[in-house]
Amino acid sequence: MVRLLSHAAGRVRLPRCVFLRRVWSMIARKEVRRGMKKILTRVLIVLLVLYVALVAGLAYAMRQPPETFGRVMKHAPMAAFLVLPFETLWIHARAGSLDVGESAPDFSLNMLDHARQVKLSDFRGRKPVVLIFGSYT
Amino acid sequence: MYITEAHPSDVWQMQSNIRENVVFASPTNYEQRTEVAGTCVRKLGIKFPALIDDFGNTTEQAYTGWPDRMYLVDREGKIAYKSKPGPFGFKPDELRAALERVAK
Repeated sequence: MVRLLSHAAGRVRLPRCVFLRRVWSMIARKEVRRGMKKILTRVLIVLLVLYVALVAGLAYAMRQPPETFGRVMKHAPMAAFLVLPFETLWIHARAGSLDVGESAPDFSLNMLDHARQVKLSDFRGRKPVVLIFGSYT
Repeated sequence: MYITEAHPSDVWQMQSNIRENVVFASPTNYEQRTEVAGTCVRKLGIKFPALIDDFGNTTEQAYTGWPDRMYLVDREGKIAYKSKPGPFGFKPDELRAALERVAK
């Protein structure tokens, strides 16, 4: 192998096809193939373990309070959004415990202009209510 | 329902917010939240009533509303529609279809 590499470095100039033929014949040897297979398997296992760990970590972070989750995501590289199943994990993490058909939890909150308080249960028997949760940022 | 900021500048600032000049740090009390909510309603021209969640985020937690979500509560006080969590689940067409079902 070292001899071949030194050939490639140009100490002895060999025609390119001869060089490639020698490299190929090396790879064709069973023991070299077996060795490469072993290395490849180990690399794949490490990558798989890393991927599972990242998915588990992200799923855990998604279940934390907004500020904690935000601080984690601030440091996450953009590539993470492409490689990890972000949307699927998010939908599960933020599923919530309410189901369609259940009673909506009552609340009594101030309107923005503090003109009055609005209580959800006051609308019962009168009209349906749309709730849109959100913020400016 | 105005709740905890999704991308406050002191936690997870988004570049898109900087471009649109929507840069706010996390409110530290109810009054500050109300102030940011007021700016939001004014700048976006929101016509429907805005309620401010208490600073303990009681309602947001009960409904898992963060960062954004939609619900439809029918006349019996039951949940008729629950969107998937935003931003992915924020689909006005689904809400419209649910409203049409409830209105029948």
